Parts: sequence; structure tokens; C-alpha cells
Amino acid sequence: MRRARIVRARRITVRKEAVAVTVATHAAAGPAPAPRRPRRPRLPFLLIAPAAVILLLVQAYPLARVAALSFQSWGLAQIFSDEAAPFVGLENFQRILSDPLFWAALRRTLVLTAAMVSLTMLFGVGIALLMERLPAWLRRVVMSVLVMAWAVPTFVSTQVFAWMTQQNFGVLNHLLGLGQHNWYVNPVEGLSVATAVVVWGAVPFIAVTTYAGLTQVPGELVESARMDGASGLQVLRRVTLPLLKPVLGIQIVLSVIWDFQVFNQIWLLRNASPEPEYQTIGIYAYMQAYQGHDYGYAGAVALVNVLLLAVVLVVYVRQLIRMGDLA
Amino acid sequence: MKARLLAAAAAAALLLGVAACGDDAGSDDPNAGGELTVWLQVEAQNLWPKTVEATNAKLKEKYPNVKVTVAYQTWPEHLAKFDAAAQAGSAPDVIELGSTEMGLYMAAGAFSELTAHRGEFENNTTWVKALEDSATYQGKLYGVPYYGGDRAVIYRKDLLAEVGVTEPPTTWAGLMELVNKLNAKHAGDPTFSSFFLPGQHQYAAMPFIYDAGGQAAKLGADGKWDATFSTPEGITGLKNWKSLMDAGYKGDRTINDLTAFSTMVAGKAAMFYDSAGQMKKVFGADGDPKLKEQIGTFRLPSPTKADGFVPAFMGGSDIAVTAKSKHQEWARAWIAAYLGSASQQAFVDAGFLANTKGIVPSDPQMKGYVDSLADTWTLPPAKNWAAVEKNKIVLNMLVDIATGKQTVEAATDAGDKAIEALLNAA
Amino acid sequence: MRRVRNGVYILLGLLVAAVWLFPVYWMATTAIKPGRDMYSAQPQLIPLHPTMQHINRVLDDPAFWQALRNSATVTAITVVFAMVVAFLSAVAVARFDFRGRKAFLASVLVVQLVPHVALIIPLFLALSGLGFADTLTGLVIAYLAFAMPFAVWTMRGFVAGVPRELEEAAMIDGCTPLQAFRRVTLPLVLPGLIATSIFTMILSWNEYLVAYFLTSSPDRYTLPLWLTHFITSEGAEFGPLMAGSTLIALPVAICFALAQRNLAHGLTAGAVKG
Repeated sequence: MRRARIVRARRITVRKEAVAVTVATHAAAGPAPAPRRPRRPRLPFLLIAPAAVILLLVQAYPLARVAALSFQSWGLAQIFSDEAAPFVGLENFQRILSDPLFWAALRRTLVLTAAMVSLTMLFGVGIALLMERLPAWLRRVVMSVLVMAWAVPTFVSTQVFAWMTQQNFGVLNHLLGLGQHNWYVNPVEGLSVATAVVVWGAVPFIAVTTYAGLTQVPGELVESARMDGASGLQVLRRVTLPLLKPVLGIQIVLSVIWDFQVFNQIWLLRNASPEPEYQTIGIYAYMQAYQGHDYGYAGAVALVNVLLLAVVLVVYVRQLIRMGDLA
Repeated sequence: MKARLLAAAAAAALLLGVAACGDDAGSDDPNAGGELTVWLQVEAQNLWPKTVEATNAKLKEKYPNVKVTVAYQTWPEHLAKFDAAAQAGSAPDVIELGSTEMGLYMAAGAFSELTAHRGEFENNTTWVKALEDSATYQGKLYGVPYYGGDRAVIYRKDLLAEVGVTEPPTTWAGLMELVNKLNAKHAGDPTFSSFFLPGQHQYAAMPFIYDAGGQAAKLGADGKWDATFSTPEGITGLKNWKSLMDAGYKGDRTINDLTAFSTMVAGKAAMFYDSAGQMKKVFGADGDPKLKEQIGTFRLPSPTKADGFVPAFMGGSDIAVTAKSKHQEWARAWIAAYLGSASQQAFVDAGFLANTKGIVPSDPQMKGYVDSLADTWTLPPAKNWAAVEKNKIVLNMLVDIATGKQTVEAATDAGDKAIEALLNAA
Repeated sequence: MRRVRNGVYILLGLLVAAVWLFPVYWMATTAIKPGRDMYSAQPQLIPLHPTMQHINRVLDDPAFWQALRNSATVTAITVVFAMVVAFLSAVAVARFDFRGRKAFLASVLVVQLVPHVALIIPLFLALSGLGFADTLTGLVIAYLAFAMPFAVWTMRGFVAGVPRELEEAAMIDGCTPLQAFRRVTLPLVLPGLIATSIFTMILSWNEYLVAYFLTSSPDRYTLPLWLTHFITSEGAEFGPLMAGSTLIALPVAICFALAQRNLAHGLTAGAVKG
């Protein structure tokens, strides 16, 4: 009994110290001590080994296979005849680059990704900040609803949205008083519905993780900024957001990756048969190559996909890694 | 990487050589043990699981030490999974493929030739021609017809009776008159379709082309395929299709036919044109069992011939033995046990057509389908037709026509060019 | 002024809850509407003739219960392993400088750049080459890899946020390294662990494509696989689909509802608000 109390007392002191140290670190705003050289040099390798092995097996090796495939002609004939797949050099890549559908799909994908990521981040971070300001009961309600929405598989949420936007019996036309409006004849409207599904599904993830990050922002820091006369917006810009930067950074990177590859939502909204005006890179790749059993070409499209994303993200990822050293 | 590939190729060549020397066909000794893997589509799991069990039991009698594993696949991804399994050396011994999917795989050499074993399968002299054709490549048989399905008009007797019609129409004029009566009766309901006919349903649209004397594509004397949607026959057919849609369908024209039956259950559609499987869904577990007595079928009358009917699309499935299977004899024995007359009756009861002309549904509700058998068509036997399907060229063309985005002429012209490029690709 | 602002926040909070709840509500109510009521020109916001017809169809299917067991097993194992593996990696990259550290961090992200659809066949070949085809173990391995980028990067942020001085202080205080970890590190990284486990749980609970390729035996189906087999024989029907979906989403929802207190506590555990 007494012992427990002592332990608890110690824990409290430790906590307080934590505050002091964290605040001090953040307030100093200078770089925190960089990760140090370990005393046992093999230790970090042991620590990353499990993750590394899994990633090598499940992602790196298949990626290498895909890369090799992209220089081959590899289709049904090769699969079933045991012939070695012939190397065709850059032929698959030439085919991609000379296809106007590819370029149209690329443009569409870039626009959609930008729209989806910015809307997701805007709502996600906004809701996280809002949750901080809500009374506990409502925060709990919002959190439960978000996690519940997050738990709905995309293929289900897409079906629900499809049903809600159904021309004759959809609840959306009913609530908006639009009569028998068809949401899918005009691709801009149809893709807006797709964007809504994606954003609806992605916001809970951003909101919950941002909120987890927000809880790590020391209250003292905010209060002292307040006392210095900073307005709410200034606190947000000068204190909260900079501290959230690492979390937001990885969220944006992952969102770009995921939204760039968006597939399910559009695929299902268009009855597994998207018109050319609805095709994103992911769908284009699937329809042109994958369903055509042309795995060499599919590999090339995937590789082009990776390169495009890498170009978009390389600067950002570098920044993230550097930031990690400062945090 | 390259060295490894070369090694793999060498190993493969070696294996091939060994296989060619060994007497593979007769090696399945009745007492030998082993595992036989069968891939069927989910219909078998949902509609006739007992038939599958009985088949496995029958095989067990003949080969007591063989363990059969039946795995069920879904339509959208099963071919990619088959490709992957074949590459990994774990392809099934027996596989079901849709009749429109066979061409590509037969051409690639995926299946064992069955021409010499034809006699092992029941009803082999009375197979439905469209199905047998789909399992035949360059005159050789590579699959056994599994079941078939054609199309007919499904209607609700009670809704027709409300406008005083008790016998389904047998002429185009009669059909149009019926549509107009139903429209007038339900004029106040903007969600009611006299004839549910959305754009993304090629097996409802293309029959009109065949009715007008056209077809999807034909092989020219130069050995190249000509797509023929933009021929005068094609255009006439699609205009007739569109006129029925304009007259009878109120709803989303960009969708497919899969919600037709539930719309009918809800009383929001009086007729639609589809397979018997869809007809059975109206009063099945997902529909309303009380409607069973209210559903009938009839053959779609022709808009171009006074007493004629629209030729129906005939689809279905075939079952094949994979060329790499190490158990050719067991595989054939399993198929023979599975596709006997007794099973065919189970398929017919589930709403499909048997693989043989010898077994015809006696159910009066199937009348439209039995009548439609008189004149059926199937897709062109081009090995690349699968690519046309995968690229949704026909579906997109039909949706553009249905929504009025393009005229029939412009849409078919563009569609034909795209189809020819695919069909004549290497 | 303050009161007005709080009122606005509450309104906004309710609006957010409503927008994110509505599709879930629509899914659950569609599951209990008879077909006739779904296809009414005036959509019923409240089901007037609730029916258990669709729900019972699901509950009467023995395959559903088998799939539920499989999904629960795969998810539980994946979540536990993901937390441990990601935490270890996070400690390595946040605390130590070693050769290949940046390369490791970057490649964790880079491998994520490839769409899963494009990787599925080589992935299948890799896993089945090791004998993991048609096993739940294969699924666990794949899901662990899919969860890694988010898990490692998030955990790294949280681990880096734990002042090393604090752990050392605790150890000087007489704590063993394990105690120091439990009393100092764990509470501070707990929100990260919780976020990671939610992420991993939902990912492995809902994943379809890999499960489809890797699994052949019906007794190893996971829930998404069961659902597609349950409904796609001749096209999706909304009633059973929504019933199945509701029943799949429900365990996760209940799980979080029960864990609500811990969840909220966990997410605020590291918060040093007094």
C-alpha cells in the first residue's frame, strides 16, 4: 500500500520532469541531440531486423520482380508454355508514353489527388483541433463516430454512397430536392462523389492520429504563448502546427500515395466498368494491362507509377527524414 | 536475375523433356493417392453444393485415395488468380471458365486437349452448339460444356393485368402498345419503368443488331477482323434498342442490369430482359418469395420482322483440365462425374440451361428461355475478344448512345475502330 | 464571448458527428429494410417495417462464423506483431545513428509507392514459394508489411518525443531498464501505439485482395472474402450486402466502444496538461 503510493508519487514527479524537459527542448527550438552512435553497434540492426525482413519479403522482392517484368514480354503464352519470357528492352515503356489515354488519366489523377489530399487534410486537422475544444462527452461521441466510419471497408462505403446517390431512390436527391438527378452522366459530378467517398473514409484516420499528436503538445507551451499575448490563430501557427509537423508530414505523404492509387471507390461507383472519363492511373493500369493478362506491360505501368510518385515525394521525404533528426 | 531466369528456363525445358518421355496419361493408378484441386465459380457453392459433394463421393468410389479440394472463385479476379497460380506451379487440375473467357486460354495452351476423350463425357453428342464451340479451338476440343444460359423478357403478371393484358405480346407492335399502356397507368410515378433497360448491358443491346441482320464482328478474307457495329444493320439494331429504352425505361442509363430484379420486386419495373438466374432472383432469397406466381417470361419480339423474334445471346461456362496437371485421368473422371445428366437437372433447377439439348426445363416459368433457344448467337470466336470485354469498349459505346452523349453513328464508328485495333493486335 | 464560441464548437462537433454517422446509419438501416421499402420514391429516413430477414441470412450461414474466427485470429496476431515490430524499429531509428538508417526510413516509404494491385502476383509467388499459400500466417505477414510504413513512422515520432534524459533519470532513480520503459517510455508512446493498433486492426480486418489470392480453402476465408462470396454470385443486392457489412463493421465498432475509455485515456496519456 505504502509502496504503491511511493511509486505513484515518483511517477508524478517523473511526469512533471517530463513536462519540464519537453518544454525546455521545444522552447529551445534548436535541434535536439541527434541520434547517437550506439554503444553496441549491432543493436539497431537487430531492432530493425524484423521489419526489414518482412518488408523485403512482401514489398521489396515483389517490387524487384515487377521491375524486371517491365522489360519483358510476359503474358499467357509465357505462363502456360514454360517459355522464358523474352526481354523487350524499353518497348513496354514506349507503349505507355505513346498512349494518349495514359496522359489523360495522369492529368486526371493529379487533379483528383490534389483535391482529395487537401480536402482530407483540411477536414482531418480541422476536426482534430475541434475535438480538443469540445466538452469530453461530445469528444467521445465524435471519436466513436469517426472510428466507426473508419472501420467501414471502402467497398462497403462506396456501395452506400452509390446507393445514396442513386438516380431514382437515392436519399441525396430526395434531401436536396433534385428529383431524378443522375450524378454520373457528367464525370465532374461523378468524380466529386468519388472524392466525397475517399475524403469521408480518409478523414477519420487523419483526425484521430492528429488528435493523438495534439495530445503530445505540452499545455504549458500553449499557455505561455497565450500569456505572451498570442492570439488563438497565432498559437496554432507558431506553436501547435510546428510541433505537429512530423505527424502531418507523414500523413500527407501517405495520403498522396494512397489517393494517387485510388481505385476501389471509382471502380465500384462505375459498376466495375469505368468510362474513359473516369479512369485514373490505377484504373488505367488495371484495365489496360492487368486484365489483359499482359504482366510485362502492367509492370511497366506500375514502375512509371512509382517513378512519378517518387518525383512528387522525393523532396518531401528528404525533408521528413531531416526533420526527424531535429524533433 | 537474368542468370536465374535462364536457369529457370533450362529447368523448365528439362522438365518438359521428361514429361514428354513419361507415359503421363495412363499413370493414374486407381489405388494411387494424391490430391486433386478443382476451381469452380461461386454459383456452384451457392446454388448446387450437394451436386459437388456427390461428385466428390463418386470419385472417391473410383479412386479411394484421392482427396478432392474444391475452391470457389469470384468472377472479377479469378483469371488473374489462375495466372498467378499457374506461374507458381500450383494451378488447379480442373477449372471452370466462362464461355467468353475460353478462347484466350485455349490459344495460350493452358488446357489439355480432350478430343480423344470425348466419349468419357455424358451427352457428348447432344451438347449445345454455342457451348461446344466456345470450348473448341482450331477444331480441337479443350473443355467440356458445363451449363448455358440465354436471355428472355421477364415480366410481372399482376402489373400487366392492371392494364388489362393477360397474354404477353408476341409482336413488336404489341410490346410497344403494352409499354404505352403501362406508361399511362403509372404516369404519376417518375421512377416506374415499363421496360427496365439501362445502357450498360450489352446482352440486351447486341441482340437487336443480330435481329437487324448484323453481328459484332466478322473475319474478313484477309484474315483480319472487321468490327461491324457501324454497318447499316448495326445502326438500325441499336436505334431499335434505344427506341425501346426511350419508351419504357425511367432510370439511370449508365448502370448495368444487376438491379433490375430488385426494382421489379419493389414494383418499379414491369419487364426486363435478362438471364433465368436474374428471373429466379425476383422470388429468391434476395427477392420476394410471394412473387413466384406473378412472374412469367416470353421471347422478345422482333422490331424488324413481322412475326419474328430477336435472337438471344447464349452464354455459359465450360470446364477444362489444365495442361500442367499431373493428374489428367482423375481430372477427367471428376468432370465426367460432375457433368452427368443428374447434375444437369440441378443446374436447370437453379435457372440455367443444361449443356445438352436432351434436358429442357419443364417449368412453365422458363417458357421464354426455352422458346428463345430456337435462335441464339454467341460472341465472335476471336481470341482477342476478351480484350474488347476487358476494355469495356462495347459497354462505353452503349452508355454513350443511351445517355445521348453521342449519336449512334458517331459512337459505333469510334467503337469499331477501337475494337478492330484490339482484335487484330498480335 | 467564450460561451458563444463554445456553442459554435458544440454545433460543429455535432455536425461532424452527423456527417460521418449518416452513411453508417444508412448502411445499418438499409440492412433491416425490406426490399420494397428501399425502392420507394420517398426514401424512408427511419425504417418503418424493420425486418431481420437479411441479418438472419447472414447469421444462419455457418461460413460467416468460420470467417469471423479467421478474421479475428489474423487481426489479433497482426496487431500484436505490428506494435512490437514497429516499436523496435522506431527505437532504432529514433535513438541510434547507424549506417543505413536514412535508407531504411526512406525505403519503408518507397516500397509503399507501388499499388498493391500491381504487386499482387509477385507477392503471391513470394509467399507461396515459402509455403504460405492458403495459410493465415501468409496473411499476417502481408498485413504486417502493409502496416509498417505508417506504424514505423508514427512510432518514430512518439519515441523521439520521449526525452532520453527522463529514462536515464528514472534509471538513476533505481529503475531497471524495463521499469524505466514501463513507467516513463510506455505512457508517452501509448497514443502512438493505440493509433498504430487501430490502423493495423482496420487494415487487416478489411483487406480483400491479398486474402483472395492467397486463400483457396473455404475454411480459411476471412470476412471480406466471405462477404464477396456471399453476395456476388449474380450481382450485389443491397439488403444482404448491407446486412453483411454491418455485421462485419460491428465487432470493430463494439471493440472501440468498449475500449472507449482506454482509448481516450490512451490518446491523452502523454498529454502533460497538469
